[in-house]
Amino acid sequence: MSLSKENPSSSEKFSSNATKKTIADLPPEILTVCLKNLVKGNRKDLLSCRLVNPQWKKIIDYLLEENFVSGRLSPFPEIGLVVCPTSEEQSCQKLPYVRSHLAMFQNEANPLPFNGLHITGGKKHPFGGPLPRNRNPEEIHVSLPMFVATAGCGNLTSLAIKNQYIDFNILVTVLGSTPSLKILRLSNVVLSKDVDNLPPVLPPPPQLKSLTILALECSIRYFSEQIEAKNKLLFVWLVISFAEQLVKLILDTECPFPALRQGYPYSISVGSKTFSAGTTSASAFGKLKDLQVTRPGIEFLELSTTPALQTFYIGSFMGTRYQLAGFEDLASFIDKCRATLEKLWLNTEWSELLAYEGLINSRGSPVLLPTANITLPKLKMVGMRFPELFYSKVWKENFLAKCPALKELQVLNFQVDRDYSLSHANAERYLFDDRDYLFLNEPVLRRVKRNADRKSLYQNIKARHPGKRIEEAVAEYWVDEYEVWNICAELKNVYFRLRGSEDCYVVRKPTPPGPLP
Amino acid sequence: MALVRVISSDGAAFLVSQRLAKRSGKLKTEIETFRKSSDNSEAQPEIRIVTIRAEILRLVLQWLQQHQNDPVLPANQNEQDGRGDAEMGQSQWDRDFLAPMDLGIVMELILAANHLEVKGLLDITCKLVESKITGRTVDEIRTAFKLKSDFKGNEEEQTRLENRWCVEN
Repeated sequence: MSLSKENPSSSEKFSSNATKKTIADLPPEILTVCLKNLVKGNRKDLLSCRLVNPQWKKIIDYLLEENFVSGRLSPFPEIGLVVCPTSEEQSCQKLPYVRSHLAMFQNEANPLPFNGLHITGGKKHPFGGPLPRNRNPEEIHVSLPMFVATAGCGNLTSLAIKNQYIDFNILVTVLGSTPSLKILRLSNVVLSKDVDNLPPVLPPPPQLKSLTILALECSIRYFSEQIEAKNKLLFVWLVISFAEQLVKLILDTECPFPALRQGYPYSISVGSKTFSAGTTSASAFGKLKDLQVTRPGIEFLELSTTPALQTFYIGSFMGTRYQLAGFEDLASFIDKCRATLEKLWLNTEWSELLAYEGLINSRGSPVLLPTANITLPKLKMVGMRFPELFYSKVWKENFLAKCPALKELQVLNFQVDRDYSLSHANAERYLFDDRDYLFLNEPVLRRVKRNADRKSLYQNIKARHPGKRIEEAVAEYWVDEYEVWNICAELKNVYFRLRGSEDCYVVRKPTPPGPLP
Repeated sequence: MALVRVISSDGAAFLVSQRLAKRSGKLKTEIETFRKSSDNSEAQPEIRIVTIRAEILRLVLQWLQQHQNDPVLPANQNEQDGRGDAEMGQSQWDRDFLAPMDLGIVMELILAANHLEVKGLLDITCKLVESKITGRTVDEIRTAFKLKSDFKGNEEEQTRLENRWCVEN
């Protein structure tokens, strides 16, 4: 036993001491940890806690708001406002069915406990469910209810709108009636037909001095270019309008955002008409600490002044379109943020790196990713997708070796039974062809061959560890093979996030004790 | 085996292995700081914890010893999948360990786990507090945790009104 007590007499003294500590002695951040799971549980408990005292009320309201922003929580079912046609036959012109308490829109005595409102299109709305065949989605147009603006939402701090076509002028009016707004989240929201009547220079939005978090998401990739252009116009207008004050920006859109730059004149073409959404100032994006982006455009990451980013998340950075940022742009951006970056999520397909590998090879140069010259001294957490075994060089030398302070490594999308056959390869080829990477056929075929080798390897690993789940056996093999412990001295364990199965982790084995003196 | 002396606020000393002590983020830092500043590599570090009394320190070390081979959980381990941190690793031993404690001791243990950076212990003690809240009325919570309502003016009435609105609709 390695624990032993000295001074037994003193230990007898303290054993009878009664404690005077109560929950009131806990610092707010610890009390928050105690209360955080209540948000996901019984609403009655939550409401009881709001009544305990002002400190508890403040924490519960904060937790509600935080979960609301992340999209994990639709705070109270009754507060979710659902706007949809009352029946399949009724068009949007009929009065929508509103499941809500209209009193929430009164300025005085706002009954919303956390001052958040979530408006969403119903299941029958084109963005809320499967789109009927041969049907133009705009035929089922539903606009944001005007009464949100007319009745006033002076106390609202969080507003989320999902699956809606929205009239530009109504949005301006709604924002004008929410002066306390801190968080704005738009998911699959597109400007409606009124775009044609807008002036070529869009008016600035109302002043929202408290707005620091903007989340813009749109996954309507199969709709027309016209719809995408309208979506882009709305998003660009919002981002640049609040560029100086944003602390957290989430941009998960299919159409690439044009740029994230200071002094940049933003113009967007919708059909034959070109709109000016304004020009960013020299201090734009200066307060940004948390950036989450998917498929950025080439110019997106070319900031003239780098913000003090602490968290950077990137989903896919390639796609079926031209003018998207490549891996060099991404690496260059990460390099610029090295002084402050603490959390990095590279939730991107490794096939995107495969494309890069092919590119380098085609020029006859050695495989060397542009992260080779980057060091990230403050980086404590990295999340990356599970790399194929044959990327060990890339993984070790271009990523892990660059993060000496790494404490947490999360391997995302860990799938040991993933198949990568010729049919998958063919499906991927169109992606590369679209970027004129015609020479990639060879690497793709090579990958198919490697996949067969990998499957055989995994079967051998499984056979060697009959009592273990194959995921655990492969995870252990993977950590050893990649020499993770040697490369990252501070790292204690590696987490593998599985799809549809229990996560697993590999723990650093304790160093054997040295010889006794 | 390399050892370290950990001394509580009331002067009781505990001799523990450095490997065990390093399971605490705070003790690990202290040991490494001592190593850097000490000329003698064989010297035994001595760490004073001025905020934790012996009874609580003993409990923390006892918990660490029981969990010395557990993985060190990252701070946001379960943010993405929505599971509570404590749901990951609470064992029957943990439940037996916490069962006889009154809330005052639990609060001290939470403060100690936070100060010593022992995330696993912090998680299970916070979870215990959560379980004491679940299913109770506001008066029962106030009584259990010895809390007073210090709402000002009609703030409490206003909050009740908000809650009623949420419940009734």
